[in-house]
Amino acid sequence: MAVLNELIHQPVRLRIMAALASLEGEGGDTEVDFTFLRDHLKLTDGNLGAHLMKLESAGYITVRKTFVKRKPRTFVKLSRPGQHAFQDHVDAIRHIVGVEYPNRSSRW
Amino acid sequence: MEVSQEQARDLLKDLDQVARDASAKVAHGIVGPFLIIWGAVWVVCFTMEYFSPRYAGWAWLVGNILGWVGTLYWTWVGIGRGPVQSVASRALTWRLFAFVLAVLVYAFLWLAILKPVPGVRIGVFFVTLWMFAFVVMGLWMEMRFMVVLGLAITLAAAAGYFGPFVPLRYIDLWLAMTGGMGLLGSGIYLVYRWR
Repeated sequence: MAVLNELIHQPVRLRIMAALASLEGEGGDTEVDFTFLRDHLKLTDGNLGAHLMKLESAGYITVRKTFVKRKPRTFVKLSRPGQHAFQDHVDAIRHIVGVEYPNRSSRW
Repeated sequence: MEVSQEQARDLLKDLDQVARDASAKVAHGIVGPFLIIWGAVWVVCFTMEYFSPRYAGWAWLVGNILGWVGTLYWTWVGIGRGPVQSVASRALTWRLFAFVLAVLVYAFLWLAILKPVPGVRIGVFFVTLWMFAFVVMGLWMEMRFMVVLGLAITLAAAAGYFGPFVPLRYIDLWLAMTGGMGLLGSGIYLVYRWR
């Protein structure tokens, strides 16, 4: 039985993981722009950055900094362990509600 | 860590909302500018058809060139600088572009074989053809907004052409208002709603 993940359960980090997981495509190579996440989740740069650092140090996401047309851009990617950890966490929440999804591979 | 059933239910609801909004924001943010580009082209060109039919051919030529330049540019921007980057999203963007191009090339070739066709019919035909493409893309990308918009403009164009309340000489103005303004207004709404 899946158990709740304390690191992911924090409300802001849970929303970050949900947004990243929802945008993850078939290839598992999806990168999401930092400013998109910040605006979508209505966070400040500092707040989002701090939570991303925690997720990154746990190995749940990877952060890539690059330049596009000489402007710095940061991309965030959900890692494979991050996908599994988030899916486990959602499964655990569903278990509490009493809704079980037997098809483990289905999108949460 | 204790989570009650009530809290868990609220969490699932919130996660679902975050996920749905994230996908919608990406999709609508990309689609919005396309609607604005082609809405503006339609408003100007169909209005020219009514007020200055002599120059309407030129207006359509320039309008289509500008529309396609804008479409290509925005496709390129979406692929290179969009908020979500992946091999799959880049491939999808090019597939959508190729789909629209294929539909239009097919229509142009078919009209070239069937001509001469009265201008009014060509206008209605292309409006409904574009909207057919919208409905297909909306179904493909699970964007209800595009399906509804495509069906609504198709119905408006058909009602204007077949119905008794729009005299045929006003059909171009009708298409400018329903098709052109419909696209333009929807595009502006999407850009502001999901920015």
